[in-house]
Amino acid sequence: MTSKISSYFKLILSDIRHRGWLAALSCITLFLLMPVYTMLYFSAYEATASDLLHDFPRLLNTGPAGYLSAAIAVLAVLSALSGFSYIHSREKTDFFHSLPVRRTMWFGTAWLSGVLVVLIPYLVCSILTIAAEAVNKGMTASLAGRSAEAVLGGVLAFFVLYNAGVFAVMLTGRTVTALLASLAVIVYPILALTLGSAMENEFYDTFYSNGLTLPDKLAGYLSPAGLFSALIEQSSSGRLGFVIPAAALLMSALFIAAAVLVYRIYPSEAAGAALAFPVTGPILKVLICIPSALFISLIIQDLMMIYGNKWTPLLSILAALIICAVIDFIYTMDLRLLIKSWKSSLLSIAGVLAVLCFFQFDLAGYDTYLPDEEDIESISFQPEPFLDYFCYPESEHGMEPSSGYFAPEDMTETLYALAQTGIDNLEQGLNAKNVHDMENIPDPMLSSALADKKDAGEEFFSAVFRYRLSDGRIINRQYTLSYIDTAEAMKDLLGSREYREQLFPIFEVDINSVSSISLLDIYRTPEELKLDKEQKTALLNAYETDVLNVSADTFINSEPLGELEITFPNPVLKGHGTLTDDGMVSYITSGSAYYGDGNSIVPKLYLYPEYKNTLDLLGEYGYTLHTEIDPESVSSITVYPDADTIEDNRCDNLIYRLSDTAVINYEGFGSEMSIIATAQDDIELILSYMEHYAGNILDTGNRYPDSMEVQYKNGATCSYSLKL
Amino acid sequence: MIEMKELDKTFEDIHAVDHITGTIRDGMVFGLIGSNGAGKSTLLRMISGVIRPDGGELLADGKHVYENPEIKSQICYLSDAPYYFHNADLREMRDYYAAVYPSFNRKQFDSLAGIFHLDMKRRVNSFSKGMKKQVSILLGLCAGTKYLLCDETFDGLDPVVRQAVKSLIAAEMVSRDFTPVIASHNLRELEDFCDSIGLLHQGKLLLTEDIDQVRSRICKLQCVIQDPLREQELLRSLPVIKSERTGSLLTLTVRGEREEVMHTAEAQAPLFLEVLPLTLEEIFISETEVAGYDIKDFFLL
Repeated sequence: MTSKISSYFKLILSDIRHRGWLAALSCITLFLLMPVYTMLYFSAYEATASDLLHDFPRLLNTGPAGYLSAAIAVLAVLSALSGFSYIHSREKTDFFHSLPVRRTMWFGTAWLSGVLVVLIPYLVCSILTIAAEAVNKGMTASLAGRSAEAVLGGVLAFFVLYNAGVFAVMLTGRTVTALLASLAVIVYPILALTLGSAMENEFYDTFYSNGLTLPDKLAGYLSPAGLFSALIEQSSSGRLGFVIPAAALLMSALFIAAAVLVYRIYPSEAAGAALAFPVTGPILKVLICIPSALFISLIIQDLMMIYGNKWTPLLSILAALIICAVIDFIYTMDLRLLIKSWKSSLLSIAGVLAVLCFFQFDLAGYDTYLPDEEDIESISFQPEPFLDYFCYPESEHGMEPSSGYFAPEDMTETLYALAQTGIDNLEQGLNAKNVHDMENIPDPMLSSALADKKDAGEEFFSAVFRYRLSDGRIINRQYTLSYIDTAEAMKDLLGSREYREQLFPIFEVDINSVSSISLLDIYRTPEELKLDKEQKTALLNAYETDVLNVSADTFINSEPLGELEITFPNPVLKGHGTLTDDGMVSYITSGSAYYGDGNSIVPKLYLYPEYKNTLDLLGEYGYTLHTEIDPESVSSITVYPDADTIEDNRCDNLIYRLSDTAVINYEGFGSEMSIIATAQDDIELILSYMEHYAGNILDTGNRYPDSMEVQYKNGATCSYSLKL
Repeated sequence: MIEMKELDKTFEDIHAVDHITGTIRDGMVFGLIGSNGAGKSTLLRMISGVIRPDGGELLADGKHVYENPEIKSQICYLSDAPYYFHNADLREMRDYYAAVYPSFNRKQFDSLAGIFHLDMKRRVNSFSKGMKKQVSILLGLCAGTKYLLCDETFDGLDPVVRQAVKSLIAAEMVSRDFTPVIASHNLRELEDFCDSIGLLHQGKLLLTEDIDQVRSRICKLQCVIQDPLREQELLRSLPVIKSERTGSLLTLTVRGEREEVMHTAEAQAPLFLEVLPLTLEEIFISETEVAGYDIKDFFLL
């Protein structure tokens, strides 16, 4: 046994010695990118302890502009290729495989020496880098912990790509093919898994994703590239949890097991051939070609900012042809044999066409799919105007309210009917992708009914529906809705107290914990209300009462006079965020990144004239809302008419009535204009065009596209909508 | 003893080894001869455990070779293109072999390297082709294995070294249980060295026998018989592999014992009669001609 172990170590040492070039490359690259760069970096670094906590761990696995992470990736693949490249050479295979050593032992020898040849320099350089930091800026326990986490992330990231590379080498018979196979193994899963969403986005008008589709999530866990990226990113930002490292270890274990199994049956005669198992050639070709061709066509269109999918078939087939030719050349290394395997090429192109047909003709009925009403547990509904109207505090779900907008069960029928109008609009030519450019949709593209509505100036906007089914699945769709249909539905929805409590952000907040309240009116300058705790609670209670009691018409048709802005210590931030050395809270979740003292600010708690309880209390506390701007307080106004307003000469009347002191600037060959008014009469005149403080709950902001910038005499500047 | 039973190997559409059955007995020099592409290297690579047979059975001392380090430690394979580590010198290669072959004899290697004037500190890859072959042979001999498989190993050696290597092999055979298997095109080299031969052609083993037996079973008959009827009778009565005529001199390659052939020929009252042993090269050509590999085909091209 001792003799065997001794032989094993001798073989490992011998392998490392024969890969001295890789050891030297690792040492030089990592030494320059880690301790040397860190010394230079700190020579010009002036920052706080919390900045250091944020910046330093990145130097241990990401490096300058990501060069270190790229170096780790390259070294991982190089180590895998160089360690097992002997199976790609007839002479070396004859030598190694004739020796009295089991293949599993050869594998273990090459695998371990490949790990050591990169990881020893990496760990040494990490220690030197940490030492350099400690000497320059000092070391704290939390920084040491974060540094260890970053190094662990780097090690695991290397591990994932290294094992993927080893597995790829086992599938091939030439080093060049092994390099390409490594890239395929590393990238293919992410490509195949995200292609579905990409194709749905490209072809389906009702597709909506907030980046959390199941394949997208899986892509992060099932692909070496996704895991590598997540490990580097999470470990350098102190967010390395259990799941990603566990997934990395599991994936590495699977790659090692698969590589050992393949190596045990690896035919030595495959040395010099493209693939270890030629029978897999056509299968791999088809499997690689179909998703790659589609993906490349989407990427090209994206890079060239070509919208729509009219070029997708042509580009996909062209890409498929090129990929087939490249793969065949790699297989044969002979241009004359490019068409030899025409059957698999034909199958690849047919596969691409089949996928394109599936999406182009919506064979799955994706766009018109509406779950059976009986299968729906509840429906979440988020029209586009909500995004501007509401502002929610940070929650466990990002910036979305924890309730996720799902309406009460008794509202399902209303939302189902509204969703049906969305599908009707889609079938008549209007969808979420073209609604923003509705003016330019040719009438023949729309049904006559929709064309009439468009000509009558009826407003449309997009809305996201999420169907929660009784089996637990959530299905997302995006439709275009008319203002009239939505307003009708909103009247129903807002009739529910439960829905209002879910929808309005004030109900996300524990009002007893609110530390400050500010008031904004037409001047839009926050004024902190000097109130004691009881007064604050009373005011917010009154606000909640008003939100619950006013009629739905208030939100749909009335216009706000001003707004409240509240600050409160958010328990979610303190509970889920990371406390930094300087006592701040760092919290990163889907859709938001928070860094602050742990307090959340919730603005846009609008005040309507119908909010009697709130307005009365404000009056009682000595605060009144200005509803008009005093021209005397304004030093100048700059008006920015919309391009359509200029084209339709709708600002001519205003210009005609302005004094000679008003300055009109034309830009962009007359398509852009600004009017600067400083005379008191001109200011009064322009202010008379001012429309409102803020839009209502269904306001898209398109109704009054013209705007003005008001420069107050106290130095403040505010923007407002105008109706020219 | 190495036993091959219905051994078979195919590379894509090439049937490299076609159901070979045969035995390599211990303590004898086994020569493996065959035309180009006959399957000699493939057979040696299978015997050494480099490649796995598609079918059949391959046993060395009664045990399967493939992925069996125990038996592979008794087999050393010297490839026709020996591999040495980049920048490795003789000492490093010696140490590597010593790490994997438990019976490797360092002292013997150092001694032989000195005898062959091989500089221990010089990089092996800077050696000439012949010197690399010498290194390969020395490593193989000193590995201490029972079987030494040499694939075209003698090619590139000068006559003096070749003779020295033969002497070394002979000495090893005397001193320990040692069975060299030598594949070569140089049939004259094998002729005076091998105890038994295996003749491969297009993946098939045409014959495997002791070289003396082969020689005694095939012979060359030269005779002059005036009477054409008697000549025809002679041709009918002998198992002729090959027949040539130069003027009145008839040269026949015939299967059979020398005395028996002589006796049969004498019955036809020849004017001149001589029975000669065949060289190994002649046996190779004759046997492969029978198997359809005619040297004349090359001249017709």
